[in-house]
Amino acid sequence: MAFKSTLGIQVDRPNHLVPSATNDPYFTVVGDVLIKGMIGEFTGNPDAAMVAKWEAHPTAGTVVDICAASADLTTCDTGDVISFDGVFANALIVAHKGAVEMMGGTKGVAVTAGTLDFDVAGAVGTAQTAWTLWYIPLTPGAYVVAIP
Amino acid sequence: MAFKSTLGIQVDRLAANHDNATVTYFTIAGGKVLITGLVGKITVESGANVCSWQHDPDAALAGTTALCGGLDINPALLGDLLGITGVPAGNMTYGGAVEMFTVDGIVLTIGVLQFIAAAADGASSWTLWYLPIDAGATVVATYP
Repeated sequence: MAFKSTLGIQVDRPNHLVPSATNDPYFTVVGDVLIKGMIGEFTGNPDAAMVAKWEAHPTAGTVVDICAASADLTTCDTGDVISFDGVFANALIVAHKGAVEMMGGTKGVAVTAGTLDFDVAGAVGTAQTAWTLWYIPLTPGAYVVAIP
Repeated sequence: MAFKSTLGIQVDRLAANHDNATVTYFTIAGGKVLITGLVGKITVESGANVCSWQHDPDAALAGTTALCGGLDINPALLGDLLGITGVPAGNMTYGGAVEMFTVDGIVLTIGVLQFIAAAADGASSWTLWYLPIDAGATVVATYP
């Protein structure tokens, strides 16, 4: 699905098993874009220790954590939602319920070409997540695609 | 390029070498504008070089306003973005991703936006987004 709203263009990354203790590229960024929002949903319970954050890995440039690491997510359940507020120093926000803030700290995160990686520590167990991202192209032809 | 998104009108300033000076990069004319975003890109890496932005209004009695604190861009790599939060007390930042504006925007009166570099080293390109507040207000890239 790729429609435009005031949030920009929507990119969905379907349900995916979370790999343990690794940086996993979830989205590819081509050109420069402004991330207007990003939410995740647990589609499988993390039944073992799991700490997570998001990183921007540019093709050329400096790797940046676009949020700080979450608390341990072991107690999260299927259906819980996850987000971040756009302030890099603030942790990934996990609502152990059905509501979560989205981008309350900034108006967006500018990201250059590369990948957006879900950086996970811990055994993770059977955790699965699905993610949705919204963006506005900043340079002509810029776009974001989900990595299967 | 000047297309409209939810950010407003986009103005690109092509890559230029940094001068050891205060240099006008953008000119605001015709009235007040709301700057909704300002992002740069490192096109030539620099050595030690503290950089920042300020607004210098045309109004005779008004003084300059710093739009951000200084950042030494020395560690920034080719391709890195440069960003400001819109809060004057916040320093410019760099990296493969940067926060863009923790405020809705910065209101600027007629005048110029100036890039201040402490050294004639490195180069950057910049993109700015704005919404006119007064009828006919515009922002254009300026080259010395």
